[in-house]
Amino acid sequence: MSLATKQKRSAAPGNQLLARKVHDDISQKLTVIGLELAVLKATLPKSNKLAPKIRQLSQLTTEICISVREVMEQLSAKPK
Amino acid sequence: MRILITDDHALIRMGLKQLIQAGFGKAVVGEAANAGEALEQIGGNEWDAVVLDITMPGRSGIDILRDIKMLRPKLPVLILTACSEDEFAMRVLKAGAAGFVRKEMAPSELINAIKKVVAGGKYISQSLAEKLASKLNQDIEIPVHETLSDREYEVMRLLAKGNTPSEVAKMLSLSVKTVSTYRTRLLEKLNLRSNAELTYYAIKNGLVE
Repeated sequence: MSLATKQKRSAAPGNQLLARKVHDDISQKLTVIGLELAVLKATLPKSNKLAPKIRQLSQLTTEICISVREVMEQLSAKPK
Repeated sequence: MRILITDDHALIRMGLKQLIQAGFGKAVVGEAANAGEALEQIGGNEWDAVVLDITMPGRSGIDILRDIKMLRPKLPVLILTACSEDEFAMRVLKAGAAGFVRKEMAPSELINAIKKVVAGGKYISQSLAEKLASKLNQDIEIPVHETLSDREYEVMRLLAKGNTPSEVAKMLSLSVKTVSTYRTRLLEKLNLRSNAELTYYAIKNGLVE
């Protein structure tokens, strides 16, 4: 096994830990923000001037959640 | 409406609870932080649906789902997951889940998903439905002649009708050499050896009148 392969394989457990941290610390909290924004969206009257802003923030949060999940999946992937 | 939320993160449970209450008004929302609590709540109370985080630490989420279905076979279980859809979706649906929602999509999809499964339906997101549909297409056997290019198909039909390569070349404004190349290629693709076999294949598959 080459040194590079060894280094690559030994880095994997660290990546797993990092993925877990991203999941616990970032992803979960982002999900909570997304849910809270959805609650605000559902309870605010549509005529409220903040409603479009909340929709926008909600969309942005979903997009960040997707990006974070993709990073998490790359970190958890076994090295080839 | 009585909904049980099962998730190991207290903040997520709180967010889900508020969202369900905002979406359904008078909903009663129960909470369970792990599989044991969930099974206890399901065994001891009546619920209209369970929202289950399948990526909880400890036992496999699919095992928890199977336990719930053994305890209450008719209780709809909506799966929430942080994983990408294709990884888990098919397995949880086969294990008896009524629906599947990614956590990041919960703010926009959860209420509709709950409505659907409580009404006895199944819920999957549009993106998953598209993936499943394309997978289904791959499983259906495609007739070999559908793999021919448009030009190969046209040459095949004209040859099958009894035209010679030079007649086909004239009809399609191609050189005889090009038609011969198409003929070799399409015979190879169709696993045929002669024009007679080609005519037989075309008639059998309804490709020529």
